[in-house]
Amino acid sequence: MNSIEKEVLKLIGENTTIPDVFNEVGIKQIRDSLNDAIAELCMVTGSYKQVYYLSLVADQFTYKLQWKTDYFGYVLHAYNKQQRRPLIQTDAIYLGMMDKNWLLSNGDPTHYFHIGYNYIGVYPVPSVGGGVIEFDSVVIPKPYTGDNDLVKVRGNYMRACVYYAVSEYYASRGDANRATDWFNRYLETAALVKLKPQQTERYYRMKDK
Amino acid sequence: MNFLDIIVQARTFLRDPDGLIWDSDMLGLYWHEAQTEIAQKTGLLQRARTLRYPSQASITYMHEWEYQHTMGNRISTICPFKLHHEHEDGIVIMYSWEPVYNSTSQIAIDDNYRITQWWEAAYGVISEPPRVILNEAFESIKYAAFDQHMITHKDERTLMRGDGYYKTTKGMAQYYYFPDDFRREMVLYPIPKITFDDSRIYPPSGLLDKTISLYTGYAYTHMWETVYRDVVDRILLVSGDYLLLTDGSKLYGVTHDKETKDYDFTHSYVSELIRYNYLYDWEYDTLEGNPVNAETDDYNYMYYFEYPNTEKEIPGYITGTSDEVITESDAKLDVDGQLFLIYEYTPQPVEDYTNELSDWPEYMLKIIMAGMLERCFSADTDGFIPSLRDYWKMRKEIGIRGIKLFKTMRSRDRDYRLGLHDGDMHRKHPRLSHHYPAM
Repeated sequence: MNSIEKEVLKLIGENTTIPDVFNEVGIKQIRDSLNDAIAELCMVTGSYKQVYYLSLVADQFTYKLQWKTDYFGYVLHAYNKQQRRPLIQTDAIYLGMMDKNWLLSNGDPTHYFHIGYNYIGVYPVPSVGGGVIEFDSVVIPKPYTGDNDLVKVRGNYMRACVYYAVSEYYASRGDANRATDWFNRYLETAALVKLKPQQTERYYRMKDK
Repeated sequence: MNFLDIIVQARTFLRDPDGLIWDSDMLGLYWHEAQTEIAQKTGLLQRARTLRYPSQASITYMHEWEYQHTMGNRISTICPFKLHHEHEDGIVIMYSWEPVYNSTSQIAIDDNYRITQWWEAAYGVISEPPRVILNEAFESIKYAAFDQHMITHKDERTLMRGDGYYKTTKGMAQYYYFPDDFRREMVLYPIPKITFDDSRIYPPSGLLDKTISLYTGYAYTHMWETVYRDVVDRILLVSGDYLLLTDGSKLYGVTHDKETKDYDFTHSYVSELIRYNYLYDWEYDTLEGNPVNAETDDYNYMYYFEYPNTEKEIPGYITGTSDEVITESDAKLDVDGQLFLIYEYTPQPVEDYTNELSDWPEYMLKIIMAGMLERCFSADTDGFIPSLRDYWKMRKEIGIRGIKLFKTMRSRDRDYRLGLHDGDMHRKHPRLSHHYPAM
């Protein structure tokens, strides 16, 4: 049990030394909630980044980025180290307008674009293999599973993760009001209140028939 | 992560560990509803694929009742006649001269061959353009290219007005159109030249493996097809013969009159001046004016599949995956001579709960689960709890906003913005009220 998990147990009134329900097996529920919180925070804030070195293959214009410890989110900057220049971001629609027959193009890639959530395309199509593009990417950490695993979340978001897990604990006990309260705390702590759907303020008045 | 993992996690929140209120199938249904809603609201899912041209269909059929007996994952009506309805008397019109055959003043001319599989277009002049079966999950095209050249959308009406021969015009494909919204198919215009390299081994298209491989054996109906026997080398000449195909299934042939020339290799029947060809005995009865009794009459099979009916994979009209080419590497796409598409797709229902949920990135599955739980607590069952429904609804909506924000941030390295028109076109200037100044 790591320190974040202990914080959660304290808030829900569980013994942190000899847990009653959330023992080695039961802690999975808390751990899943914390992992989901970390994933959501990294997804909407882009706070966790890694560099991916993509080895270009001749005549291949789409690449699936293979990450071992993280999930690929999106590219922040792309840089061609051999050419000493950044790659420009584009997309399939704009590329079609810019160069109708870009699939026939050949040369050193100058542009890149996202395809779906795990593919990257480059333009022009590389004429030779061997080049390397550096993709400075936002990634989402894969779930941690053990007590000693690295928890990849910024320090100021740790408290938010705890509130998220507490909220889900109350939801799993059927207490929607307390679950909502704790979830609101999570949003406030992570500065994500802008994501919360607000009900429009209503003014009621009597109408004559 | 597979759907069984999702079920385990969801049951904790539902407090229904034994599935007494919400069984797994109900959760699967709500999961699909939730993921469809989120996909439509966010437009996140997109993929790039190359597709064979023309497509292969697992099986084609002529009459609607045949559908229930079909097998495989990509089922289609006999392609060129799709737009021709089945007449009330049960006869499908194949050639335009058929409805007016008995008329003394018939002037209906006919054009070119009818085919039963699109790939046959490579071996004859056809009357209708071959079509491309799109993936069942296909939603909208972002980019399309044929043989590495970009093609753009043009509706059929415009093409028809510009070119009276638009169905048979050949050339380098420049446009595509969708015949209708029901069948997920697209047609290229002009029709590209179709050639098959007979020595080349064409890659299998995934789910087709369970059915007959179109390049290793087929039954033919027209005499001219024998010309290509060297290509296929598996043609039925003796009644009752069958061919054992590579997948272990058998292909039966019924050759009523093998000496007949210029007619189909099927049963034939002459009534006065009309000569009919038919495959099924009950069709004969139809010709005589008897009602069709498809359930009891004997059938003469042209194709025989050993797979039971229960193995039909996904119900639907045109089903399963399309002719997406499986290449050596997941990312390396062979676009040369193929149709290349980047398209948005909608997630598919979970068929096998042990399969990985590959339509979504794993870190977004919780948002879909929130949508599923919202539906569970909304249903009019013993588990109807409005407060928890509202909680999970809030979670889902926050998740959708999060995905939209994620999409926006993904494009922030771009130095342009896509839009339909200039924002300046509708700029409004402030002006004083009509009632000012007060008189």
